[in-house]
Amino acid sequence: MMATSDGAAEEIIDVHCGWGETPFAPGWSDAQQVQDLLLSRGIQSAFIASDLARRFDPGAGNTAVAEAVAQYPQMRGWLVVHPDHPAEASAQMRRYLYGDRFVGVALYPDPATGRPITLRAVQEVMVAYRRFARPLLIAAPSGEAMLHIAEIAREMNSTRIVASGMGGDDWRDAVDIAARPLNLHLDISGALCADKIAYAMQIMHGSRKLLFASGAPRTDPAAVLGLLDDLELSPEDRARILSNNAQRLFNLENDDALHGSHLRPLSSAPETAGEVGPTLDLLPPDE
Amino acid sequence: MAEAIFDLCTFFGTPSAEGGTGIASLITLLDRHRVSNAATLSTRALHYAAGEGNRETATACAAEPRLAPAFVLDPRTPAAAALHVPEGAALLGFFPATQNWPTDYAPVRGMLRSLAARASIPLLWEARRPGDATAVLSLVQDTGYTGPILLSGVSGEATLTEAVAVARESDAVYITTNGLRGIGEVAYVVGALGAGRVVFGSGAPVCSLGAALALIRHAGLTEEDRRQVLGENARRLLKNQSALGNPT
Repeated sequence: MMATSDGAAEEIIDVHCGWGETPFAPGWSDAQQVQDLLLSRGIQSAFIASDLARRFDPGAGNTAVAEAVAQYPQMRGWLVVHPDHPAEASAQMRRYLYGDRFVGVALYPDPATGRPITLRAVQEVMVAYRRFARPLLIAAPSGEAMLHIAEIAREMNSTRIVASGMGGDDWRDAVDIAARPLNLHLDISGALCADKIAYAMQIMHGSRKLLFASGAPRTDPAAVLGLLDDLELSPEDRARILSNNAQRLFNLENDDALHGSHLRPLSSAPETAGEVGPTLDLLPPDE
Repeated sequence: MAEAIFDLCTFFGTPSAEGGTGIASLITLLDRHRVSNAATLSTRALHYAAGEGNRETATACAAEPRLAPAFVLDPRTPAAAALHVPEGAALLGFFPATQNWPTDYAPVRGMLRSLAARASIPLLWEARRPGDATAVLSLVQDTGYTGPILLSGVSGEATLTEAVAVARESDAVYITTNGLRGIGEVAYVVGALGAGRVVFGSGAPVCSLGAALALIRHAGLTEEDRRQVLGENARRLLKNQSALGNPT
């Protein structure tokens, strides 16, 4: 676990992490391996989204995530839906979003064409989604994608929206576009450029709308954390980006499994697995 | 033991409201991350005029002994055929993706043949598009260039797999770490080629130096491998360079 300047443990919540193997990260569909690696980077909690669901098969991918997050209390899922299949999306939402293991719905550009998520494309799905009152994550790999997300945010102004990726290399335009809608937040994954964080804090008048996300395994979380080391952030800003803003946005303040004095190490095993992981000083006395 | 870090890929000179060359802010960044040396090149050379920018690089590096000059070779102008490179180059760079020309490009062949006859200086070669690394290998083999080739900007399945395949075909090919970003990518390259063929580069200040260092430090390398990647390889390559003479 990383430490703050006063020596206390630093809490880190990764609000958008992938789920699914790559040739270079073959263990990224093994929850224990994922947890161990995240913990080695100082990250205690992560919200995961299935790469399989995103690119090919939402049903199978979301099921795999549901199984992983059911066993690992410090992981939550993003439910990936494809707006072109609204009936399937509604069924998945009814199946998974009445429980607490999924934090919300995640939308990604069309896997075949790369076409970004637009307001027109999501309208039908969003009518069904509003009743769950959960945050909505939309991938923003470009400035064009961020333009559409800002439009969606204005239309769905009571929904908390996370734009993931800061517009990629178009981060300057993307930040300008994202600054205005009050319900639109940015995670800091995307281009490995520290200037984008400083610029966002300048344009958005502080760090309250910024969240830490890695986009792992396509990006090593250590690299995204390394961005913050290029900046001279105050401890308050750093804490907001790494966890405090996420706690507020996802209503985690009273969620003992994900943060606070009951924090458990990611590598402590799920009770169902019957394993015993390493202990940390923050474990409550009765554990 | 402290790592003597050498960053093989840095830039300076991005225009700013404050003016100046940006060398001071680059040095501040290197100091912040305890990077002892860096090869650097002028963004003027990369984006505007190679000749002017390379002279800017030479001047900046002459005044700052921690920096080694990297000069941009831009094949897009008729003057490029004369291949006038300022004295003292530590590294020469081709940037086809950034400058929007194809890697397999007749003017580059001419430049490489000219270089092959005069020197074996390391070439930093941007290879971030699929097919770039393969084309570089063909060019080098066809022209007889014998110096080290550093493939730069590779990342993800398509280009990293390609770059490693190319490096397996030629011992003269190295891979720089700028561009790598995924979990397991650094470990994969080191495992495939050996630590002696992997060279640290950040792309700073455009890309984050902190992120680039964090990737290496969390790659699960042995201490010896990490030392090679972070500094020893770059020092060996640049030390072994031949003097580059210009045609009279």
